[in-house]
Amino acid sequence: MASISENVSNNLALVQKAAFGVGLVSLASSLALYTFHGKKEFFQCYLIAYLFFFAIGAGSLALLMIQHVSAGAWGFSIRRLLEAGSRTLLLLAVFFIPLVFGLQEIYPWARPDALKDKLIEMKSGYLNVPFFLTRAAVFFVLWNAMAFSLSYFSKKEDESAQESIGWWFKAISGPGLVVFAITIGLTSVDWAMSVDVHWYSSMYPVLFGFCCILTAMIFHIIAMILIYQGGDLEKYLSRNYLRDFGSFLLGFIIFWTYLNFSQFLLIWSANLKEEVPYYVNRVTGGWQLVTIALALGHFVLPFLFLLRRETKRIRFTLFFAACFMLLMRFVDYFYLLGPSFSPRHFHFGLSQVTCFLGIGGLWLSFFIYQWNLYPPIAARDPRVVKEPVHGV
Amino acid sequence: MDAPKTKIYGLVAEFETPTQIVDAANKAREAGYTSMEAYSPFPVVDLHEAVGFKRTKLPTLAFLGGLTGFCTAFSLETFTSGGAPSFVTPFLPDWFYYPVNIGGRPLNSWPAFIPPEFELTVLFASITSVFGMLLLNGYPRIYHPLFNVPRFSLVTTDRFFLCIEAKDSKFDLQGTKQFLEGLHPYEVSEVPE
Repeated sequence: MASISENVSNNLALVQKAAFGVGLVSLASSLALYTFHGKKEFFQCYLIAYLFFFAIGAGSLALLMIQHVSAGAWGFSIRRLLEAGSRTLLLLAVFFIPLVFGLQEIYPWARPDALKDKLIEMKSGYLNVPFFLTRAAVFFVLWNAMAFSLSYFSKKEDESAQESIGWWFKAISGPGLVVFAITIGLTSVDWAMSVDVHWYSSMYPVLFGFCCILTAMIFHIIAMILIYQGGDLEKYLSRNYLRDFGSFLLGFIIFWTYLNFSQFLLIWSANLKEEVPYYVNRVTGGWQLVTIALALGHFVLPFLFLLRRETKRIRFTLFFAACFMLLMRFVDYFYLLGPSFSPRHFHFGLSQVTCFLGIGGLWLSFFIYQWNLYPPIAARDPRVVKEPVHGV
Repeated sequence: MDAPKTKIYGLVAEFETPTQIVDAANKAREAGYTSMEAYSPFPVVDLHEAVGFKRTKLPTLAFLGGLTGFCTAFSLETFTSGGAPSFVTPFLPDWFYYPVNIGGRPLNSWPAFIPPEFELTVLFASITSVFGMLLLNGYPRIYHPLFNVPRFSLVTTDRFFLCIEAKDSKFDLQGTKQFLEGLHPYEVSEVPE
């Protein structure tokens, strides 16, 4: 039975406690700041921080289903991490509840006088509070059902030698990916795009859904390198395994750039009155610096760094790149909504930090709790027999 | 082939699985052989390291090719559409400097220039890779001594060949043959020049 090294599991227990403490303290200070800066500031910062961790949970579910369907060796090595990540959607559903009390502070269409606006009135058949909450509830039920049923069959697979269980993973994951694509697309419209209620972009749902996958992949590269070192799982950190993850990271970063740039180019070329404000808000009032920082830090630098074959294969350089990218992912989520909340005036509040640490601390300790529930490797996965062989 | 005077190019050992040839190549490298080459029907992970293959300049060439493509597209678009800086434009010939007002957009519309820049980057980088690879491999080449070994034609189906070349300073027909046979190949053959 494969296990992680004792040193790592001690550290994990320590991190779990520390993250829980930091999370509680930060959430408490967010609430204290709430009394100083007001409701608006709190809920806007909370949503941005929430989306970041939601992305890891939802992206883990998507990656888990993708690796069940594609059956690549890469997926086997991080399967249990992905399962633990997808089960955090339970906690993320709980973290969604506070947002219910702040919808008016975030979404223009949820305000009492919203229907005076002709355009909002026309959209009100879809964008209204009861329907919004119903959708969120249904989506959380669907995601959790997929995440927990995949984990349930994982447990079954560990306990019995029946080969028929493998069929269930594919039976859930194939249709599950279709459900995921539709629900995450609608989620992007609901939670993020409707902040700019007059604006729309058909690239946005794809971008939002893909950002979940990208963020989750980055998180699991970091988690894999930290957790697997020193133990029996060290072999999954061999250069050729790491290179697969490095290539994923490079490819995903390029795709992120492609989606973002396509959206920008279409809106820039069309130059329509109802579409351009989104980008005008992002190139004025100090936000242009964030735009440039993202173009350099989320594309040019990691692209040039990961282009070399060796950086993708060496543990330290890949780890460094992934940590840097996780930071840039947060900047990207901040940039997704920040300029819409405070147009033409750069604003980064202290609540942003406390909300991030609050949700993040509790989320991380819950993730470690979920990770400890299962053995670190799926010993009966058919891919386990394919030990690293030459030429496959 | 049996003529005693035939010059020997090297000794080739035939293996049946990729794992066998990687192990064999590792042993040969550890035994001190440096001039050897492995032949396989598909890319085998770790094999290039096993035969002591040093990285070529190809990645650098491809990168420079891509950079050239990017710069070519960038300057072509900027200069022909009139987006060049004003201290350059008076020196451009009329047939080259051709400012076009498209829907009132700036002459230097860099966002619209990016797709062609991307395409030329990819085009130049891939052309450099393909032809650079062929040239660095010594192609075009119509003859290779290994073709004198009849079973070598199996390399395109399911067999793996490890050849230790005679130019290796450690090469010695009897000793090397014994060494190769110790690696449990399917067969060891001499390769006439």
